[in-house]
Amino acid sequence: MYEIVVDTGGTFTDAILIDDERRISMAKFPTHHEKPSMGIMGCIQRFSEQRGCSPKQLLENANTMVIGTTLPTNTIVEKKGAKCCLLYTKGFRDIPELGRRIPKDEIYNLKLPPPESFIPRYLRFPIEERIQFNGKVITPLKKRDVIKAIRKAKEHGVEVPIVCFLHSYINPEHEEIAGEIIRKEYPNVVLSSHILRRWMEWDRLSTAMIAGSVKPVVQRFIENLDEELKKNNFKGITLFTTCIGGVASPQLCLDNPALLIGSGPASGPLLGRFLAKLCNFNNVIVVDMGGTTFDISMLPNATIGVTPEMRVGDFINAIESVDVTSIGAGGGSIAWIDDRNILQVGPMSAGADPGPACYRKGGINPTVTDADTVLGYIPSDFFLGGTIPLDVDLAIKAIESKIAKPLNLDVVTAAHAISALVEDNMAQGIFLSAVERGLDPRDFTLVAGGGAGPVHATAIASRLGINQIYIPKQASVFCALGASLANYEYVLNLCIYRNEAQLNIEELRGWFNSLEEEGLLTLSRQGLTKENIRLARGAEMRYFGQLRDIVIFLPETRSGEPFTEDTLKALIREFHEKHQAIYGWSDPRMAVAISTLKLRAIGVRRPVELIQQPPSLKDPSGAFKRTRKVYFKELGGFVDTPCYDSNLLRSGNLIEGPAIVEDPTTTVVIPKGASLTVDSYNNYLIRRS
Amino acid sequence: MSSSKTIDPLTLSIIEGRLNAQNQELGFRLFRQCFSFATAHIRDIGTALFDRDERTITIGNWMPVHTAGSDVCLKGMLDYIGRENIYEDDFIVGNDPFIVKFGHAPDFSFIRPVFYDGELVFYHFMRTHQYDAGGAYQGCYYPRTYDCHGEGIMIPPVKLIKRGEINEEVFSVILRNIRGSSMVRADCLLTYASMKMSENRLLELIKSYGKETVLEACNEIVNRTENTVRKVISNWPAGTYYAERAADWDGTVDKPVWVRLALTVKPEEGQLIFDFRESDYQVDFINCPQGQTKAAVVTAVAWSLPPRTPRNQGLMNCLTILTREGSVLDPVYPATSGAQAPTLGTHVVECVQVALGQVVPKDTSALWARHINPILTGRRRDIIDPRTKSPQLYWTAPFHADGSMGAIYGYDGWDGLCWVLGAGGSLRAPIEPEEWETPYRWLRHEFIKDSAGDGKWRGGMGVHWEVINTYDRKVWQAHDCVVMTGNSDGEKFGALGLLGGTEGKKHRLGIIRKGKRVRLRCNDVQYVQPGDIIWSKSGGGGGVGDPLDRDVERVRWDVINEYLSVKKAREVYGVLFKKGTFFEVDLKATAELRKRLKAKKAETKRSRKK
Repeated sequence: MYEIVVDTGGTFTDAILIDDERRISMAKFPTHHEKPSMGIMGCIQRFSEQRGCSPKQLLENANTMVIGTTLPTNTIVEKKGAKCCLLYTKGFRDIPELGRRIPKDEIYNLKLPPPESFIPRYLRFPIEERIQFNGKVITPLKKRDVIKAIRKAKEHGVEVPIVCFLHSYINPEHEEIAGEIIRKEYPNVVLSSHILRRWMEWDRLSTAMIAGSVKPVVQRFIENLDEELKKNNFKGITLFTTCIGGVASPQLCLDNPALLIGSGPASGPLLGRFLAKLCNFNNVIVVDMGGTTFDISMLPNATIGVTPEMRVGDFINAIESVDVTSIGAGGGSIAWIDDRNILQVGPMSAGADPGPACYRKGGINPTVTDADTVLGYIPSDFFLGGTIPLDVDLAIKAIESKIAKPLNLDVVTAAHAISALVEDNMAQGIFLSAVERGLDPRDFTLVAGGGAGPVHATAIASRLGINQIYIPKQASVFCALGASLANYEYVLNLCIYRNEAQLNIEELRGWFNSLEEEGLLTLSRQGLTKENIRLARGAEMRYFGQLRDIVIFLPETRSGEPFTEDTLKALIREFHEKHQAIYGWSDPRMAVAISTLKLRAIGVRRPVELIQQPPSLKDPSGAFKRTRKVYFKELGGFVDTPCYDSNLLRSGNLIEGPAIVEDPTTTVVIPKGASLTVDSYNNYLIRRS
Repeated sequence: MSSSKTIDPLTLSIIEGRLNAQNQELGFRLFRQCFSFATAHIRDIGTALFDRDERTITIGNWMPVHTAGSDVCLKGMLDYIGRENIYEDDFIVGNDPFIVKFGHAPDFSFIRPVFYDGELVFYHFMRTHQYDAGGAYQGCYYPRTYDCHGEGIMIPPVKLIKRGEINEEVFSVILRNIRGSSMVRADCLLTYASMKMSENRLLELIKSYGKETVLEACNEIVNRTENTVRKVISNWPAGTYYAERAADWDGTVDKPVWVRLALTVKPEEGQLIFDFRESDYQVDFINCPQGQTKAAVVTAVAWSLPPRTPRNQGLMNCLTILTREGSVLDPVYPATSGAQAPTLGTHVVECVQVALGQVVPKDTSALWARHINPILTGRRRDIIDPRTKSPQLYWTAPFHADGSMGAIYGYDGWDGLCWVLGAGGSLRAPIEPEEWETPYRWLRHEFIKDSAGDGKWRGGMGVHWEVINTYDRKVWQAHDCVVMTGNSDGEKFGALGLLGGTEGKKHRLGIIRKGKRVRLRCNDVQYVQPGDIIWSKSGGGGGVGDPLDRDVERVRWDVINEYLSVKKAREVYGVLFKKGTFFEVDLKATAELRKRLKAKKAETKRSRKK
């Protein structure tokens, strides 16, 4: 049987197929924006060609299809969501603008247009109702207002109504009554308390709005895909990857499409965690360098962090998401010179169209890829296995006119400056991510993926004092590989906001039991049984008087373990320790407060193992491909550099820098002073001396 | 443009990037963990890095009210302590308005000298609004104290930490004089720790590039900024431009207090001279010291420059700021200055905007709605603080009442972006946690139709805010619930428009007690009783350009969305809709009406000239 994992990206749909012998095949097909299922079926076509069977035969033999998609995220970023309306607590029409919790991007640019709210004011309808912070009903819901609102929504051709009332996280009753009424006209109504049970009205509204606005797109995608798969005799289960790095059934994703938003970069860290455990790396930093962004996640003790403040375009997805920081640096990042004649790279990107100058698609701005091509890092005749020939002359022309001349540099020095500056920007991004979490990057192994990642990984590592770099052979399908490892996973929240003195064990146990019940129900609905279920209790905590929380999770347990005095003590102890780690101080004498109880419910899918290759010789000469001129600053310029064919490298091969490994989907640059070992999984371990 | 001979372009870019990142990092560390409401929720923070010559090298993108102008405090604080007495791992605090000259009592300014290899290289600076600083009420926003001593503890610059050792004697004197001392202690120490942690990055930078290269890069960054700014100013029209703006009152004597500016633009030198010496003599409460004045000037100038212009010494070298000792912009002992930033500090910005509006009207915004932000404070005798065993204190200034930004040529004012010296670097607090913390329930937080200034580009909207006091009537005592409006101004003066745009509405506010109106004005303090409703209706920002030139589709959109009434659309914008449609514009009638209204406007203008 096969498992097929697909990652529907903005430009390409990547897929991997894993068979019973754990062999991995890769496929790539252009993404079709109107009908993303076409990209998926395209990859399936490729697989069937590789395996010498028809797509139907292939799919008959597939038991699981895991889909990661950036489609909903892109819908938000590109502002192409559905027409939504908002039913709000009367008196609070303007929470979309007034409650905004993202500071202005450029304080000193008054000509920056404001963020667009999805829902114009005329589609916001007041509902008389009010619930107090403690859940008590102050003003009962006026059903007539709901009926009136829906009538107006129909008149204006609204596709998705969204209901977000104050304090619905603590008492969702009014939202639910309104939902009952609305469902008769709009079965797809979105209730904020069903999207997430967290306080802070704008965060909840923002999440409900993004969920609502992508709902029709997600629905079409799921239905289309279902149809295509059924037509081709697929009888297995379909799962979607979620923003917390888990998987969920299509039905659950349709109920709560916010689960899908930001799911794209969430799978990379899963692969990082898996590799960390496989290779006994204690701490890893996972980076994925694509065309436009550079995604960073820190995994101390091979643990993936989560955040309830993931930014998506102009909004926040407040559903717990894998803590990934994205900075505007990638192969397509544009180099430019500011008013003061100082060189800058990014955050603007040439994207895939027109793309870097060397793509010959009309791009005239010099990009990182252009610089990498001029410096010889990326072979102009072997980009994507030679399918896209790169034009070095165009790259030179762009760098010459836009950077070298104004800065009075020669083209090569200018190209090196672009490449080195983007490396420093990425290193700074990693550094800030690390220090914000109280970590020192030197204690980490850098796991690098994405098409452009392996080109720059070693240079970035050297800027951070990191000595070990690990690059999976399938670096270019990083996220698809990661998604194959995902478990079912959800986080349930309950806002209680109490200080230590107000906490009582009985009450806490009751709350956690109710969360557990809900978690088990969600998992069992998707066919999971108790033996495959793990739970992790946690809380958002602060010192009493502080205004922001730290998220704490205790180790995973099986279901049914009672909450005791010791569990509470462990939570509090964990809080002091984490506070110390992040901020450099803690004070066990100070009172602690819990704002939100959390339960992480995990449904384990199945263990994954990779095939190990028998060891071969140290000598890599069997994979030697050619010698090219490549620029290394520390060697004084261009030097003849040996290049190796990635497909001929064998476990145990050792390559000393300077050298290049050429792969159809990426290039690994090994500078002088670094050495690359091919490990038994055919992945690359680079050490700097 | 000149290029440095000794420093290569790559190194320069890298060093500037790292210095900026270091500044951001410091703020992030702080607001995530602190106890001060203003710091955590409003981001009431300023960070800066100075070189050893006390020149501003970088400033963090935090609240503009706190940023530029910190060089005035640095100098004042170093003069007081003595430069010869500065040692490694010192941590200096100060808030004395006559020495630090920046910030009211709760704004503590902190300095740490940064040494490398035993040699002073940088000064690291931070200012944050503390949980409390003593005085009659928490937060300093109450008028009518007799003198500066009534506004809170005055801390002349002092080493809270001396060569790494906490100076517990000094600390205990400070902490004994303020509320929530354990929280202020924690916040001070975590400021120290955060600054120290982010300084490691500076040290590593020096280590990898060498001290001389880093300092040379700082030089280069400052010089290039100065050249760029002078070049911009060289294209501005020469002349002297006047502006005057006033506060409603100082909370003591009911008459306006004026800030007056004569701005001289010298394009040949690339210099701007801001002469504020004609401003009123010092009054009560709203006086604005020199550092705060400078922050306001630099902020307003930066907005009329190309957006990415760094606010470092290079920019400041192009500005000369003149104030008169003993005036409202350079008060002397024992003047009070609790409301300096939201009142006269804001009006300094307004004067600069009005003046620059005559110089570069297409790059200057109309005025923003003034700050209005009633503070709710008191004690909750229903909740006992686990630390003090006494009733829990509450204090909130959620920025909810604020109006919005003024328009700028080509752009409407950003709806909801509040107060000119917050400028989107500060945020409104979320309502739900507020209701957990305070004995109030929110009744309303919405934009007000027709509140903005009109124009081809309209100002951002004014806001209606209402809360009801839910304190238990049986146990209530006067001091349990206090409302302070010492941070609010603008009942008498609205946000001016530009280039024919009109003024935003003026602010209004009050208390409703048992169905009757009770007066609450700006710069006021009142006790609040259970069941009282506190309300405010702020005006919006000023408009830019003639409203009769506004794109009819935009007018229609504003009417559909109830930012604008049909009546105002007709009378001010000259836009008419077809009856029985969903606001379909009657283009023919609109064109005719607009023509008529324009003629009428021209007529009035002519007769006024006569």
